[in-house]
Amino acid sequence: MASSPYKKLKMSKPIKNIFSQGPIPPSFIADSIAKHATKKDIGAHSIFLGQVRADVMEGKTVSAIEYTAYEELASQKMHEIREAIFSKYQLTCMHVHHSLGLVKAGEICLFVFTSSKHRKMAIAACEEIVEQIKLELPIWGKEIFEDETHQWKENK
Amino acid sequence: MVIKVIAFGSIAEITGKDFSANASDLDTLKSNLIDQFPILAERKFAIAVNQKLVNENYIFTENDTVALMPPYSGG
Repeated sequence: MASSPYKKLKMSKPIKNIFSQGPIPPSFIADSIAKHATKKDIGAHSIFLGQVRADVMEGKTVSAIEYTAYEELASQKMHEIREAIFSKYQLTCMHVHHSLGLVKAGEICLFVFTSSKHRKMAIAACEEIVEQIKLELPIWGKEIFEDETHQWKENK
Repeated sequence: MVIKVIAFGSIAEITGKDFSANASDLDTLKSNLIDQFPILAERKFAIAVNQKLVNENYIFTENDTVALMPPYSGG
């Protein structure tokens, strides 16, 4: 049986890029919320923001985290997570943004945004996405101390 | 067999970010790397070949890309 390339094209969604250099500006998050005003079937948004914490270890304070990623694999994995989340939860939309490069303590490094008709779906999906990102995406955070030494973060 | 190796995070600090290696399969590559960088034997890292996670030995073909990935710490 001949396969239809049209059907195949229609079924596969494009792989989105989730990465951008530096911290995620609060204004970007506000704009992202504003853009959903036109989607009037949405009744609930859930947002998770990851912020770089000034951890103190052995008297040294973290001043920033420098993020690197295996971008191709991370995007592929994020695509799989996205597909699984959309088939599990009835979401209107879902957005994920992760920083690369230097993000100072107090700045935002992860932005996950889910929207649905009712709150429960948006909240549960958002939480699951955050957990999956921490577990599955090949991203590394180098914690840089105020004295310019560093150590590699490890997710628990 | 010449393959491309890319390393990330703390592993890249030991081996360098990318380099070429000569090995017929993954187990050989791993033991060659540990000979060259003994500290790798104490480090935990996952391996992907051509962007797919690999848990067992893997026979290379020319120009395969092997990624050495320490535990993730995104978010």
